[in-house]
Amino acid sequence: MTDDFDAARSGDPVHETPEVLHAGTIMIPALGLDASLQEVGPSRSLFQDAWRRFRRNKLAMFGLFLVILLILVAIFGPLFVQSPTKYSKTVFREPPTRQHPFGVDHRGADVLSRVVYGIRLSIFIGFMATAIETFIGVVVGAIAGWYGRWIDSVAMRFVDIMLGIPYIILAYAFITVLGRGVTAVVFTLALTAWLQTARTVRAGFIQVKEFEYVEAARALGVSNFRIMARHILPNVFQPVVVLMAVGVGSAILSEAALSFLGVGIQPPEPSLGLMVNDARSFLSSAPYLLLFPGLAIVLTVLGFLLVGDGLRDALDVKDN
Amino acid sequence: MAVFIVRRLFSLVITLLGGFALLFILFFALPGDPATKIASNNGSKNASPQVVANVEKRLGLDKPIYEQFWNRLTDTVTLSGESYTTREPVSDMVKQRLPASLRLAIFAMLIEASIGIGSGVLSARRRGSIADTITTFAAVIAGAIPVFVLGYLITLVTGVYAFEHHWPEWARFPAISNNYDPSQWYLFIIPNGTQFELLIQPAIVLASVSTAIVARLTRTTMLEAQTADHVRTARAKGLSDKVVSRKHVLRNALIPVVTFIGIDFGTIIGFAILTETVFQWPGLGSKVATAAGQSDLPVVLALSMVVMLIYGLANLAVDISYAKLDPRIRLAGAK
Amino acid sequence: MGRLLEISDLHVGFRTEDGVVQAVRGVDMSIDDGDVLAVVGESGSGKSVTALSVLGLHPEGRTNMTGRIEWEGENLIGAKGDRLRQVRGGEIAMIFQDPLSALNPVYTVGKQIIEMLQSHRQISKADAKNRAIEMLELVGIPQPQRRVDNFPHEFSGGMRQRAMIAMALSCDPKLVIADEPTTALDVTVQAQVLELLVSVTRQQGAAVMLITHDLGVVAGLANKVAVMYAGKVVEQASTDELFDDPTHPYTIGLLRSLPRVDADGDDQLVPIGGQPPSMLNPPAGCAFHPRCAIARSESGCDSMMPALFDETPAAIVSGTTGPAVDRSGHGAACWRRDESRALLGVVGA
Repeated sequence: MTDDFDAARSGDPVHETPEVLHAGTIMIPALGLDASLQEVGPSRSLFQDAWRRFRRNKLAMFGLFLVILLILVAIFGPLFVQSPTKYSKTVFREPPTRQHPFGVDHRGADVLSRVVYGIRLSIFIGFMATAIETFIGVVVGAIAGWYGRWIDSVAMRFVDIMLGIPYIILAYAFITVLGRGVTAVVFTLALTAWLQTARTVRAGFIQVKEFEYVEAARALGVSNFRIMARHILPNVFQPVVVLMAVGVGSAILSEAALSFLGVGIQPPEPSLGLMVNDARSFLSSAPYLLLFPGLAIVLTVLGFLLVGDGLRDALDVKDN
Repeated sequence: MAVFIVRRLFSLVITLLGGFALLFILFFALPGDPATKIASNNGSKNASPQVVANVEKRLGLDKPIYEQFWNRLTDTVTLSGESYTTREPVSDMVKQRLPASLRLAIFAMLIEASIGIGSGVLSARRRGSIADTITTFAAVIAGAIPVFVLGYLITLVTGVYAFEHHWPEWARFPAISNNYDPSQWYLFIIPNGTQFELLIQPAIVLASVSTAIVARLTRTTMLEAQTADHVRTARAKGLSDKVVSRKHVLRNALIPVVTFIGIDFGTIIGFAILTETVFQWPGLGSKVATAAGQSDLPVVLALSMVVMLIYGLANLAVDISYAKLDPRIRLAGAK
Repeated sequence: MGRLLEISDLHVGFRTEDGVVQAVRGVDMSIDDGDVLAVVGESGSGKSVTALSVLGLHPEGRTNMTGRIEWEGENLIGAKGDRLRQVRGGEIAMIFQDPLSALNPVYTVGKQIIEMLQSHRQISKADAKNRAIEMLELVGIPQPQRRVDNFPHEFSGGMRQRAMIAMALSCDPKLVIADEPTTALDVTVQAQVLELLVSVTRQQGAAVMLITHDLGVVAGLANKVAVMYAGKVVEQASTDELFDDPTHPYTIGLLRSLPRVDADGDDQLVPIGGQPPSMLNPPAGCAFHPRCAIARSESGCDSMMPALFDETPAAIVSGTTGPAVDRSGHGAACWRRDESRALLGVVGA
């Protein structure tokens, strides 16, 4: 039968090579319309795709802008402002002036410098706490998800118990043990935040564990650790990255809350939350004492939350 | 169904015990000598060894740990403990403060549900429009503003500014609810005029973050539901747009949202501490905070357990109703 | 035999980020009383899009739809909302591919049928429920009184699709459009459900428009076939004629790739080389020409789009119409339709 095709072409064929006819099979693409759409444009790697989508999300880009801006402030800001603990002997509670763009607080310190150092401290604490909690969460989640059975049950029961305790109380509990100050705050935040990460990582592991290529790897005798690292972790990557970005934001928020309640950063260290607490008594007379630190907190948290959201949308493969 | 409930209650008890143990260890067993702490009022004054010894004896702190654990446990379960610092019975505290917390929580939930779902649906229906952008943006910002900042901000505007600049009567709100009066509430959740004024601000502030989450969640689920296959089938059956919208889109979209709101109830009860501090609302949260700061163990344990119990029950209620809402879910151990 | 539905010159395009995707590029089709018309094609050929166009089920904001879909003397394209709703379900019913996602999971099957009945007729809930039970029985679902209160996920795949069929027939439509109704089902029940669909529908006095990618199922069930490729109907004929006397190279290719019970053991299945074209940017002229064994420039294959029925290139260029043609006969959109069979070695023409 196939010879007839060759014989049939008497005139000039429109296409060049006759082999085209015999190569390939009837493609019945799975997705109809979408299949033809996919022929438009070159193939892209996951990262490029994600970055492209991220770029198009205006809110996410705004968040990124905020984050970069604030990080710059945190790094370079101290070069431009005076020390946050330099107390003037003469000037107290002054509204914003040229010399003190954010005003002066009730102790005589320049509010602008305190805000700058506060941002610096917040970002530092946010990053540190998130790094630690991600590490703990990934390790615990991976072990629980991979080995399963009783290890999983015990670990998850523990996580559930800790999650059942209202966050503030848990934080208080840790503070009681760890004391106050920056290190204590960092660890308190980390020790409460890893729970969510562990859960997510565990879920990811459980899902992926069943995949065939993992079974194949196991059958081939690849060590557990390697399988975890090379096959599974990349899959869990996406939700963890999102959690990290959002985590920094919520860590900053929590630090502010704890300092506000008096159990976080202690005076005279410049914490934005502390500043809000201090501003309490001067609401009517010096509202700027509340506004500037408050705004700083909002912008910082907002930036990270937006980036986290943007990452979530950008890395979400589902919508393809 | 009954089997499921029993199992979950059992599980809840274990979780509560575990939490109790954890708290006990963290607050009590690990840090330094609690008697000294209490006697010296957390280090604010020096206490002579005699005073410390007295305190120890009075509070039973000289007994071995496991005996203390058991005492605390029984005390907590029967709510018969006494505050270390003020000797006020725990049961009184719970009686006074629990209703206040519940009222605040219920109102916050009403706000969260109505504004959250309403704006989420609006956003989804008019996707890409100005209303959508504004609502989404507002939701994002609301999620980023710390509760205490928002609280003071509102107080600043309605409490201070309003008075200074002589706003009309209805726009001025008292800054702090020192006048909380439980007797002026009807049917437990309906406040009279003045009480409402005191309530509305903390409720809004407490609800702010949750409202933002609900709004965005509703928007997402609505958008998903709108493009579901069964919506096309419904249209193909000749149903009117209104009916399709209500019965086939909204109904399906609200399942995850209602679930979230249910769980949030428990979270709010526990989280209210910040709001309560700002507005001086006499609820459980603020009391726990102060007690924790003073290592006042009985209070901390008892109130925490109450909160955890509510949280656990709320979760259970959510799970049960979820099965009713979405017939695809089979409860483990049921049917 | 009355003409029920006539689709003329249907064009459907979707506006996307990357441009307008022309899914249907000028389709003519007709269905008469008692017909079972099979619309066959690969994914992307536009067959589902055509089916959805009849009831206007495309997303409103992004769709450009022009042409004429004549039903009961009026054009369904541009019909008023109320009239369209009346037609949907009441006069033309539709069955979709995956019954699990096509039915709302939170309502019982009975409720979903009742809902449809009540929106088209003045009927009490009790009567509607009885009718629903009747319909379930008609499609062969055992214990219909019990199953009417079951949820979709409580049915097996085949039963679910039967329930969909029951729902579609509940308001006595005159035409049932089935969009790949068995593709999502287990292979073992596909034949059963398909046969049920055709027999019950005809029993109820309705015609069927069956969309499928599987030419094999067509043989025993349909009396007319329309083969679609890249948004156009490339061949249309009665079933017998299509199988005995295929004319378009694509149809011939399709038939060659089908396993046949009566084939010799040595006959190879011959796939059609190449891939279906991008609908964002379809090839000029006949869309099949890049994959066609007999395509050539002199015949106009790469420059002019052929029509189903004879129109000489000269007539097209000069804008005059050819002689009147019986458009319900056997048509093939190929410039070389007179030679294709011989060239491709079709036996028994």
